[in-house]
Amino acid sequence: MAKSGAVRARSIGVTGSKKTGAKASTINAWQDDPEGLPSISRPVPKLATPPLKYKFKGKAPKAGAYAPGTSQFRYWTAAEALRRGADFWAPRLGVSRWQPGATLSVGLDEGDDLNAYYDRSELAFFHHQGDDGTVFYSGESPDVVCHEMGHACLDAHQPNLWDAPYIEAGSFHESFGDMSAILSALQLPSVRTKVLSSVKSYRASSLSRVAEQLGTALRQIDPSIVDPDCLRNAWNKFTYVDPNSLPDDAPASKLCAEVHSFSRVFTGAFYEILSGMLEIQSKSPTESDLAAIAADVALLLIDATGAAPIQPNYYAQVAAHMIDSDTKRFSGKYRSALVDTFVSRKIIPKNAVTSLNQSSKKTAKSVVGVALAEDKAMVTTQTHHVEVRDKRLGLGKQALIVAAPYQHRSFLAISASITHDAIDPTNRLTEATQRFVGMLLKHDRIDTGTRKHALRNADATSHIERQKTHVVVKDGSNFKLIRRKFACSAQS
Amino acid sequence: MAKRRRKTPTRSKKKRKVAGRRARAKPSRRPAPPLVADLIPQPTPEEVEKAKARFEAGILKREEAAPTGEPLQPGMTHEIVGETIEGKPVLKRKRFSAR
Repeated sequence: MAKSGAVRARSIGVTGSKKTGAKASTINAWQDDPEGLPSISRPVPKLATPPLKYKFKGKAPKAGAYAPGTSQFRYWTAAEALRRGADFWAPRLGVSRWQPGATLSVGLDEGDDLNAYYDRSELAFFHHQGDDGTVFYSGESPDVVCHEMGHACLDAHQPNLWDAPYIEAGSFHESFGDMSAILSALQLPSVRTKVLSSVKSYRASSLSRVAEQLGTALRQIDPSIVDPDCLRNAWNKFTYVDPNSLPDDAPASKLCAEVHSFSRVFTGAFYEILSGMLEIQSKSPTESDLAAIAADVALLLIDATGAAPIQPNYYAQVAAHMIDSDTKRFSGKYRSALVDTFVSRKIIPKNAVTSLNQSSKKTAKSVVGVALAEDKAMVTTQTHHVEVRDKRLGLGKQALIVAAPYQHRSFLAISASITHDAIDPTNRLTEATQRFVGMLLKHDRIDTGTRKHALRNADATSHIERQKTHVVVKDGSNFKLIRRKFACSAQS
Repeated sequence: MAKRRRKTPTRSKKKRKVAGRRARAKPSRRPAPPLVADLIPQPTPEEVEKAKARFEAGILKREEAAPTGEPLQPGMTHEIVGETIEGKPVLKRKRFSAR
């Protein structure tokens, strides 16, 4: 199969509506990856469809059925994949906008790199010329595009994950990107038909192989850094180990503590669960069954990421919440697929599901409401207001009021064998907040003079002023500390 | 005949009441399913600190962080925005990457 858009562009050229001038209703697009399934005809995507709107940098080419290898084809295949992915996630996420704003900017070719990024301002894609002269465009692959879009979707849904300083939290974000690529591909009936038997019998497929072409490009540089057949294959046998015990780097054949490497543990479980869910859905599944379980597993992921506390053991937290979400949403319909996979891959300990296995396989709908109520009550956020007095704040005798939010879990249905602390966190919060403010003052990160929530670049005349992340503002008769921007860790 | 007519409806009314009570009471006798999320061990503060330190050490070792103000090189995801009181670099995520 041809690897390069550029090579093919020379031989095929441009076709479609450009010559006639008529408004095209379809475009040509890859289904999953330039090295995956062949291109197909798709309706012209509307990038400005709310709630998750896009805007590409530069001028949009006229819609039409362009040949692979042309810049117009690359534009429309990226646009189609982004629209398809966002249309899948938007109703499930329940968000009204991206984390950065109403419209997400897309840079389709931002220079030379074999990568793609989401940085809370845009999705950025690149090109790179391989050793054999082939030019690879990361934005041409729906897998890569929908991976980055997945980061943006998860960020809109759970923004607290953005800067969570744990390997499992970062790895889950990467896994969500790959799961997003897989679920977005499953929105195409042609993909579902093609991969149905592979998912049913739990085999590798063009669905499990994420970003085949980017894998090929990277293999030219170093064959050991990617899987043999793609960037990352969701069909894998990786089981959970404490990432703290893993090396910083390793070839792709092994796990390491790097987030993309470790993401394969969760993505591997996801693909296996997908297969198990399909078997539960039907003994003789059709492509519409595959669509149905893709929708169901997406709901489980969204429920879980919305409820799971962000902790170092984030994989276990998400997995457990997926099982609980299945109980409340689907009366435990997919429990065996979820539990068997998460336990066999050691993502959750066996003893966490022992009592679940002892109860009936399906839970009566009459008791699901109780579970739902308990689940909602499980993670609660409270805000303590801590008074901080420091001469460096310039507030005289007045105290600075600092809001200190914290999450805690209530244990309504906890096993009697598990004990937990019931320590009042107020003292620890006060101490941590005072340390945090002290650290900000030490590093000159608090604007104590302007009292302005936002500071325009023109107002910030020096580099030091631009680095101030917090500002003291007047709030009635009090002074309070608010964050102006993220440029400094909030860790105390 | 008249006595029978008076007794019969009273009996059947009682039966209906009892049946109704049973139907309502039945679901509440079943225990709610245990929540798996409650049975996942909570990390200790020491484990949280260790996990954070390990994550940051990996970022620095793999050179995935650039000092503030310097452009991120390919593959970099974090910025070094300062240092802690103990002199350790403070990292801030700037972006996610595909690989």
